Amino acid sequence: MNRLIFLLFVLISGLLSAYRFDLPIFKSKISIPKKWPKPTYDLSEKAISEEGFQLGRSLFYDPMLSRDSTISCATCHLQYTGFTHVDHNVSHGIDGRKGTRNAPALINLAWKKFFHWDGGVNHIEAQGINPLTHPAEMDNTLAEVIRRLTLNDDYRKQFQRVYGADEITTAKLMNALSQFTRSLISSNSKYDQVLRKEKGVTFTEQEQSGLVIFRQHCVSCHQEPLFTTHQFKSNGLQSDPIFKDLGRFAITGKVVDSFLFMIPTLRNIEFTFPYMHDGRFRKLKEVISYYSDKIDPANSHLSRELNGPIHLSDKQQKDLLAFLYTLTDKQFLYNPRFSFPKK
Amino acid sequence: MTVSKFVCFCLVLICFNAFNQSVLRFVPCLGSQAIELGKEYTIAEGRISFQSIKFYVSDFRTLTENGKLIKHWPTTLVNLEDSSSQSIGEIDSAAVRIDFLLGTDSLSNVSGILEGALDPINGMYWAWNSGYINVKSEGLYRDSTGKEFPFEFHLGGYLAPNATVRFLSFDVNPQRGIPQLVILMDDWLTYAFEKGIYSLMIPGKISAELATKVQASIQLTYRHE
Repeated sequence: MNRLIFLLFVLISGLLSAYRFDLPIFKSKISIPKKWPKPTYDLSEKAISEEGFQLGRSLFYDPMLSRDSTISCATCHLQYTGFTHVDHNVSHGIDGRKGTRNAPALINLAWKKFFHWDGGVNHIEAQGINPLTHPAEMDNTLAEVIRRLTLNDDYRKQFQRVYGADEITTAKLMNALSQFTRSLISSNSKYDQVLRKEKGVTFTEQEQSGLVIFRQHCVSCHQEPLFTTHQFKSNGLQSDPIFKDLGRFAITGKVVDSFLFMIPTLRNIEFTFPYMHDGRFRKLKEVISYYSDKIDPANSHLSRELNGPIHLSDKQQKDLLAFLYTLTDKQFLYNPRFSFPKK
Repeated sequence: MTVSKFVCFCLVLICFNAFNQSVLRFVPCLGSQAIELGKEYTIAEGRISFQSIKFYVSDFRTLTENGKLIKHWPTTLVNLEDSSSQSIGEIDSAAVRIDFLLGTDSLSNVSGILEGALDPINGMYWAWNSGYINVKSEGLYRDSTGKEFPFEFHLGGYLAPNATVRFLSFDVNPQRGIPQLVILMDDWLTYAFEKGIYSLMIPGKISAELATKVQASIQLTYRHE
């Protein structure tokens, strides 16, 4: 039986390989943080080459991908704010058109299985098609993007270096973008340094108190070290009257998935404001205050993790805030390797 | 063997192969008429025209009497805009059975971005809810009163219980003529129109139901030239 399953696996892998390309091997600079879970996506040098990373980086920052060449991925995913659209409850794309959800932070994506607040995207390489083609984001077509890239000598050369052929395809484009986005790993916050027992780095009394509160009330959904379980939950927020967003239900069609959204990471939360799927809270202290005292226990969609009251004192709320600030990773936010590629 | 004998031998071989293999085509039809895009046809007391008919065919195989595989074809996208895409390939005279999937298998739907027929550039991929549109049909239906109903059916979804890929299997006898797989579009479109469904762009129960109707609308027939 096992042999049959193995043969079936080999057959299916063989069939699928007919639709994929082989990556030339280059050296990668990615190392998986110690004691972290195994990533969903391959971060080895076989899967991410330096040339592939740099090509993905160029594409990420290139407005040429949008219909009128005004919007790049970085427009709504700014590095200095955890690759999200700071100070915008929902992002505006081409012609000032607005979306319906807060741009998610691009942090530690290699550990995710699903993408978007509703988890509608099932693969990191498939994600990039959404912003490229969404009418409120870059409003382009895949055919046009491929055409423009193919006409560009520099890109053709880069694709040649990465994939061994200068023919540009959707699969190569998306793979290159994902080589960059998979590499966006944040693991050097004060919290990480304290846990690694780095010399001279300790929590203050307030931060330590905040950590205890965090582990008591928040960790079931915002599990360390990624500070998310990537599950879909409802925190009891009433549906926004304008967007009327049903969350995960729109993908699965299951009533039990109504108003469920993917739990976001809390890493670099200090800078990824505003908060929640619709960006309704501008300040982190508003978020803490909501979880402490404003959840409606009668909300029938409320996830069980939030069933009991939290009720934090003012001091506890400040302590928790102080701890959350220790999740800021300035090395990640200001890493020149992830910034606009200057030629 | 002299050159002339060798040439004769080759010609005989070619003729033998020509008689023993025939190209199987997928033919979307309304009744007995093969559909041409943009042309108007009668359907259920109304008129209908098509802008687009596309669908995936995966794992197409021919088998011998004892179930031995003769040939396996990679996933192909049948697109009425390109008549050559309707031809799957030559069916060997030894084939007694063909089977295939109408649509894409679940693995293709979770493997990121693929190339060739499965390239999302072909317009058969949902970005917002990852996965392939297995069957696409778009056009205009005008009922008996002249009222117009533009229709768009994008049947897709790979997750149980509403997966839309369908398995089909047919006995085939190439001696009877050139086999073709006819899709009786009126069978499943009339069913949808009668339910008041003219647009379907999401996976779910109705997509799965219509996929089963499309499956049932496919018949193996033979043509003679």
